[in-house]
Amino acid sequence: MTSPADKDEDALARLSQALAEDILAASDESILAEVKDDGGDPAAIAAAARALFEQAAVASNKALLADAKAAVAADRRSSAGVVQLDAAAARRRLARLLEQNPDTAQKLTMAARKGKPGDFSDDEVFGLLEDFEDLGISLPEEPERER
Amino acid sequence: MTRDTPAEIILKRLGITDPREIDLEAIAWHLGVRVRYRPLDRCEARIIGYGDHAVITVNSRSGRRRKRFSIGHELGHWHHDRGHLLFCGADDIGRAAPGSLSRERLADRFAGNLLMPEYLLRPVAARHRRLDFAAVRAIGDAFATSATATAIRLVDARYFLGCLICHGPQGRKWFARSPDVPERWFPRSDLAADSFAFNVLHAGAEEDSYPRKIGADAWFDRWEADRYEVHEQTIRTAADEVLTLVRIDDDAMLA
Repeated sequence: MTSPADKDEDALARLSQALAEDILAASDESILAEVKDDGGDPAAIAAAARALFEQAAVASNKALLADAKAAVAADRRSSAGVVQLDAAAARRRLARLLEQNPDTAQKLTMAARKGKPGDFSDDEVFGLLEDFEDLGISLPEEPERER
Repeated sequence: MTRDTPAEIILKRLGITDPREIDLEAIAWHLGVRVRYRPLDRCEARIIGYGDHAVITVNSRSGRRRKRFSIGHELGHWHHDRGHLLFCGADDIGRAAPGSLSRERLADRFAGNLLMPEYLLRPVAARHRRLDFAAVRAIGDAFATSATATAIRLVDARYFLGCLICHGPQGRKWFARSPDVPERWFPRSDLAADSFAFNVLHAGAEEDSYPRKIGADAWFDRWEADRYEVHEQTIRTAADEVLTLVRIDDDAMLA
């Protein structure tokens, strides 16, 4: 059932729609002339509208930043960063990963500069494995040796 | 009107209107990059990327401002190489040869623009009548950047007219020159004994608290240098390293 208030709102919406269509149908010249006739400054009105639009755009963009901050905070809370391997198993796993990704192996070797990936410290090996896991580059588990 | 740099486009897309809003971890996340902190023995930072995602690892032992620059640098690599598997052991962050177009230099430039974008730098720099190291440090405080990174940015972006030169015991390590300074003004490789910087580096003198006038031949190894004067100011950036701003005011040197 439609209440009187709903009817009023519908009427207002129709009026608003008609006014908008009227404005859109008018030529630029006639709108400028009308504004001037009313004593308005088209440039000032355009600047104010532009500023309003930019404010709205910035506010909307800031929401993206807020979302990213929230995601980082949530990620920090959820990232346990636990690699349940001993150092030797981690090295074996890294070596196998690199065997399957020769491009990566080559770049790691270049980055290490002084030697091969085998020269990485235990901490670096664990870190690299976590990075690869994060990126979805992983190997099947070796339960009998690695846990 | 200058076009926005890629870094500035990213900052504007996130509605960043104040230096304090430059949250690098959030910006990285928006770009598909996770930032982690761990002790690193071989480098300041590294990035491993695969497909649309990457992980930046920053040396947790470094200072906050160094870490920020390192993240910006690695994001620069990500911007240029996104979509490819890459591994960057960036132990030369912030030290790529100025003027070169190497990948490291491009990444440094991206970091400078991300941490100190022109549209935010301009109003902050305008508060300082003259850009000496006091101003450099104040601007660095506003953007949470090191004196070195800030000074390089100010020189590159033409806020400072002259050269920024870094020296160690073995001589000049690197320099940056404002684009408006002609290339014939190439800094000497050694540190002249009559320069004020010499005393700061070798004799343990205090840092210069203000720029001091000196003959241009103390800084430039060129036949006409003895006709001109420049202003130099030196700070210490490490126990065995000094950083000097050499300001050029003489229009004849700039012609």
